[in-house]
Formats: sequence, C-alpha cells, structure tokens
Amino acid sequence: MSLPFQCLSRLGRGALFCAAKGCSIQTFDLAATSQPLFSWTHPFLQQTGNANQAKETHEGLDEGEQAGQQPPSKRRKLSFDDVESNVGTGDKQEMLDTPGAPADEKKGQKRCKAKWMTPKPELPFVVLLTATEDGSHVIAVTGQDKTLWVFEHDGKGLLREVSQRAMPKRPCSLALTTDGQTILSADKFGDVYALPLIPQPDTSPESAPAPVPASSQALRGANVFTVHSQRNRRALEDQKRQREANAKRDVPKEGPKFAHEVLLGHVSMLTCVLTTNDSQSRPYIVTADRDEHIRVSRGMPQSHVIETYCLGHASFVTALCNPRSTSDILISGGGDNELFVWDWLAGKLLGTVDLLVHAREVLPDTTKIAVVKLIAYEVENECFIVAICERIPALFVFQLQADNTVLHRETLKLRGNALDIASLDVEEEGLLVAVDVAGDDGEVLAYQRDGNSWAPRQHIQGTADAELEPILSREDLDKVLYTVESLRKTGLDEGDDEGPPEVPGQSSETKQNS
Amino acid sequence: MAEPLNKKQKRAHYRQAQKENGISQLPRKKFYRQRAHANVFSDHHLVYPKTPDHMDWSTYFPAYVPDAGPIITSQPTETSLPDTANLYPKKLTKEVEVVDIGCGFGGLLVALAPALPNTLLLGMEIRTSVAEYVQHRIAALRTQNPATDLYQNIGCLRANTMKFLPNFFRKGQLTKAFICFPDPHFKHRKHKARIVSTTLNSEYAYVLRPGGIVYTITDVEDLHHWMVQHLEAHPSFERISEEEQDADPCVEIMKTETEESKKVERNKGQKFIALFRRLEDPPW
Repeated sequence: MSLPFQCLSRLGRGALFCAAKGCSIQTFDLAATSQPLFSWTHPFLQQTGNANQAKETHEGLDEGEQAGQQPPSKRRKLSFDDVESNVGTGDKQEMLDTPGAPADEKKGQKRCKAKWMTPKPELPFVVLLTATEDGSHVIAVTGQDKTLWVFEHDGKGLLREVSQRAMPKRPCSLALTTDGQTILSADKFGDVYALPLIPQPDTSPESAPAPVPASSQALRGANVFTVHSQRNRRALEDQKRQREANAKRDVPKEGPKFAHEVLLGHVSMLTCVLTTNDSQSRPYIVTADRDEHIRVSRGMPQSHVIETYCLGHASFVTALCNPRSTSDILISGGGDNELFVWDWLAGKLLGTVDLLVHAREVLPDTTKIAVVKLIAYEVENECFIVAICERIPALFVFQLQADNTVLHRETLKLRGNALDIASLDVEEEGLLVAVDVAGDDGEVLAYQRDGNSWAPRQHIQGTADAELEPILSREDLDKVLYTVESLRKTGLDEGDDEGPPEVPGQSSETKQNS
Repeated sequence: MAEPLNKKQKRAHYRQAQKENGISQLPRKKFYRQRAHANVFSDHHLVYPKTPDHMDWSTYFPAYVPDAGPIITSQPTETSLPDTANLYPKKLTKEVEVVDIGCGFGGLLVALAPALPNTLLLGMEIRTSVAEYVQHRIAALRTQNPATDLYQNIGCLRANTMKFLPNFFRKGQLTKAFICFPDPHFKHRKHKARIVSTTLNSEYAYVLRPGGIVYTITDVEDLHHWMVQHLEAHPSFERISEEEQDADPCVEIMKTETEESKKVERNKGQKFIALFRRLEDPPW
C-alpha cells in the first residue's frame, strides 16, 4: 500500500500538475499518461537509501545532524501514551512555544508524568506545494526540517532543484506576489516573511535585518532598580554569577542567512496567506489566523499598514479563496459550520452559507467540520467554489452568484477523504482532488464539467516505491495528514486563569503592569 | 475552627461579604493578587466580541447608555445573513477613545478619570482577578461619588490585547493608548511576548487615529530601549519631542499615579518615558 498524495498544484496553463506523496514530489501530464513524468524525493530519504531502515535505526538522521546538513531534531517531552506513536506528527514540543497551542496536549503533558526522549526521526513530509502562475517554478515546504524548496520547471514536467532555505519556524501557508518574484511564507509563530523566488547568490549576511543592537550583559535584563524583594535580590545576585557562566545560553537566535524580510505578524498561529489586488491594481496581503481573524494589509512595500479586518468567524479560519473574476470577493472557511463571504476591502460580511448540513449528507454523525481548502473554479462566466473538509470523503461545490450570494450546487462523494484540491486550466477546466483511500493506494481524481454536473474522467493511482517511501502505521499517517481539527479551541486551557499556584512563599514582587 | 483559613477560603469569605453588602467600600488588593505574568499565547477563557459592533459597552459605562430606542439593526438584510448577525447591542452616546493596555490595578484610570472628564477610558487587563479588582474599585468609586459624574467615564475589562484589540475597536477609534510598566520578558526567547514589537505596532496603528499618541513608561532601561527602537522603526509612528512630552499633563499622571510607578518611587527606581505619535498612512 502506498502513501496517498497529500498536496496538489497545477503547473501553469495546461494539463500538467504536480503532486506530493510522502516526502516526494511527482509531476504528471493528465493529457498523456497516468504515470509520473518525474519524481523528486527529499534527500534525507535518498541518503539513507532505504527509508524504513532509517526509520527504525536513527542512523540516517544522526548522520545528517553530524554532517550539519539538518537542524538537530528537537528533544521532546512526551507523555506515556505518546511514546509509542510519535512519528510524524510533527510539532508537539514546537506547538508549546507557539501562539495558541491546543490545550489538551498541554494539559495532558502536565498531568502525565512526562519523560524526555530523543524522538524517532520525523519524516520530512511535503506539507505545502505551490507553483508560480506560469508554472515555471514549483515551491514546496517539507515539515520536519522547515525547509522551503524552489524547483525550476522546464515546462515538460522536469523539475530541477534551485534552492533550499531553512525557515526559522515551520511555514503554514505560501503565497506569491502578483509578479511571481517574491514568496510570502506565513508561519506558526504568526509572522509573514517575504523571500525572493530565486535567492541572489551574492546576498551577504549583512543584508539580513539588523539584529537588536548588542547591549552589554550588565544592562540586559533585570537590575537592582527593577527588583526589590530580598528573595529577588538574592536571585539577581545568583543570576549575575550564572550569567557569566552561561553567557551563550540566551543569545538571540540568529536569523536565516538568506535574504528575507518580516512583512507583518499576528500574535496567533497563521493558517493562510493570500495575495490579491484591488480594482486599481494595488496589491494586498490577506492573512488568516487561529484566533478567528482575517487581516487585510497593504502589499509591499507598505505591508505595515493594516487596511481592515474581516471579523465574524467564531472559530479558527483555515482557508481563504479569492476568485479571479470577482476579485473584490473573499470566501473563507475554517472551524465554523458555514463558509463566509466578504467584501474584503471594506471588511464587510456579505453573507454565510451552511456547509455542515451538506457534510451531514455524507456523514450523518458529523457535528463539526474543519475546512481544509477552498478553491475558486471558473468556467464560462460561472464561478464555483469548491470546498473540502477534514476527514469527510466528499467535494462540496458551491456557486457564487452575480449578487455575491453563494449557493450549494452539488456534493461529489469520494472513495476516501479528500486531502487537497486544485483546478487545471485546460479546455474544459478540470478539477483535481487527492483522495486518501483507506486500505488502498492513494489516488488523484480528475473531474470535468459534464453538462450541469461534474464527472470523474481520469484517475491516477499512486504506486508504492519501496526504495524511497517510508512505511508508516495508519495512526502515524493520520497524524501527519489530518492536522486542521487540532486548531480548535477546547476550552480546557486554563492558562493562568487560576491565579497564583499554591506555592508557599510565591513572590509577587516580580514585574507587573500597573 | 482548628486551622486558620487558607488564602482561597479567605477570598471566598471576602467575596461572600461583598455580595451581601454591595460594593461601596474600595476593594482590598490582597484578595485579588495574581501572578504577575500571563501567557499571552494561550487561549484562556476569554470573552470578546466578534466585531467592535458586537461589543456591548452598556454594563461598563451605564451613564452613557442612550435613554430610549429599540435594538438597532444597522445592517440591511439583503443577503443570507442570519437574523441574529444583524442585531447589535445599543451604541453608547460616546465611544471609548483612550485605552490603558495592561491596566493592572487601575491607578492610571482612576487618576485620569477627572483629568479627561469628557472621554471614555478603558483599562484592559489579562489577569482575571486583577481586572475584577479594577471593576470593583470603579463600582465603589461611583457609589462613593453619587452626586457627580466622576468615575462614570472609566471601565475595565479582561482581555488579551495582543490578540484581540481589533475585536474591540474600529480602525482609528482611539486617541491615546497607554502602555505602562509592561511585563519586561527578559529572556530572548520570550521577546515575541513583549507588548511592543514591530509587527504588533501595526495593530496599535490600526486602532489609533492619525495624531493619536502611544504613551510608554517602564523602569527597565533595556525594555525602554526596545520599545523606542521598535516604535521608531515602525513607519506609522514618530517619537514626540521631550518638550512636548513634558507639556502633556497625562505624562505627569502616568509618572506618578500608576500603582507600579508608586512602587518604583518607593524603591527609588528609575522611570523611562517615551511618547509616539501615530502618523498619517502614506499615500497608496
């Protein structure tokens, strides 16, 4: 059984597209054959030759680390039940440092007697895949090593690796500026970075944003003016002594060596970034986060100016879509039961349309949904919005009417859960969907408009490549593939709400706002 | 009773007595103390409006609730919006224009109330019991000054401003924002949690109208440099000159009346002040 395809992207205009499967990227030509034209695999798996061996012994990764080719894997604190099944989820420990980490994990870790262990090497699955408008370049992100890869596409399906850049935090969403020359990468820490598509080789480290001016060690941090209680003074003395000993420990993390610029940031986990233009062709950046916000900022170089917010979601936002023909309209979805339709430049909610009710037609027991992706699909002056939801084996097709209302048109049931969708710019515009078929090879289905409906026309079966494909248990695989629902707020997170913990002698003399 | 009451029980007793006697006495801080740090990244149990229009201010500023009028539906029902989405709470006769971000025990609010009698001031505080203290304090002050409008113009709510400021305020609604003695977050890896950062300053610029002022004060020199550096680096802000700063009556109040500044005074600490003006957005 081979891994399912988890990401799709069209390659310019035509029947070419690329799909990510595990740690590999394959290109296909829908007009020619159902066999991949080309396949690229993450060097981590190529190095070790046999992926499964690498997974069982840690050798592959250790070698990588020793050679300095990858950032060292994090030591992670794990509760007992996690110990057995920790391959691939990714980011337990990272999440803890991340805005809005899901609460149940936090709590669970607090309650269980956690223990430290070196994780089994997590596999560098491709988590994001996109291509420039003309299809000349493919951009991919692999999760475990937070690396952003750029490939050059020769127009016939062949990909050539151009660059790899390790980002400071794991990217969650990618977008390209309208000229296709700058990549916007939104990450879990809430920041949006701008990177040139092709890194300039002559980029000197100085061109990176200036770090905080070096302040002397004595100045940095608390001093005798800022702490007052006896306990804290003693602590300060200790700290001073400690400081010299481990001056290296709390140094600011060095930024990446390649050219990059922070455009904007939320104090929340970003989930989606989108670029668009207004009627006067001025660029804008739209960002969505886990705390229900959709922010509209001006495009570069004025990305520090927030034009407006589109507020109204009651749960996390994960998917944004901006139809090309009616670019003043934005459709958004996430953990809410509805899709939202916005006049994004005015920050005005135009309407909502129920999605849960249609999900229930597929799976009657559904009580909540998490939208994974929304795409606009335009044929002959009609604009359709296609949505997929996590762990729901169907495509939901809506139509955007001339009065900007959205109507449900059709639900296309699938053999398995939809992982990604993309549209192809061919004669009768095609719709691609990656399906995770339980107990079988993953597949990519191509739908085509058939009169007033859609019919599956072609189907590409994934084939297992024993050499370059890791074997994961279903449980581990699910953790990699189904991550959206975990963004939901559980209400279990107490934060610091309970007041001071009952520790005798708890000092209240530390800093506080007044 | 054999054992003396523990802190929790004492607090419970105090709350009970408060409930029975009403809030006419100023609350006592010792029953509201809370650890001085809150994790701004965690979800908490926060209550916040979906949009500024959904915010019901009437319980915070009862003196400014318009006398009559039904609930206004301020959006046309042209689309498939559910009816409830069109129902907004009544608007006050005035809008909040000044915020104290991280108001703590509310010293600044109480001191500013008579100084800015015609402006609504809101304190925002992330720690539940501290916000509750300020609410009780304001209620008591209002009861103690029944004949005047004094203290009717201040309010306090619990909020995480780093995440939810735009849920409370429209673009350009505010004229002043105070950031007084914020949590310094000394460690480098905690700097993202600082209340002033280049990316977060865009949100302050969003809620402030051009000409609006950000007031900062801290006793931590390093943090002062950080705040100055990050606000100066932001194209929407410019630092206000020292002369102008000294002429602003709010500065003196901020310097002497906040609870923290009194503490710094007692301990003979230093105070670092910086003011920044919100500039017009560049042409687009």
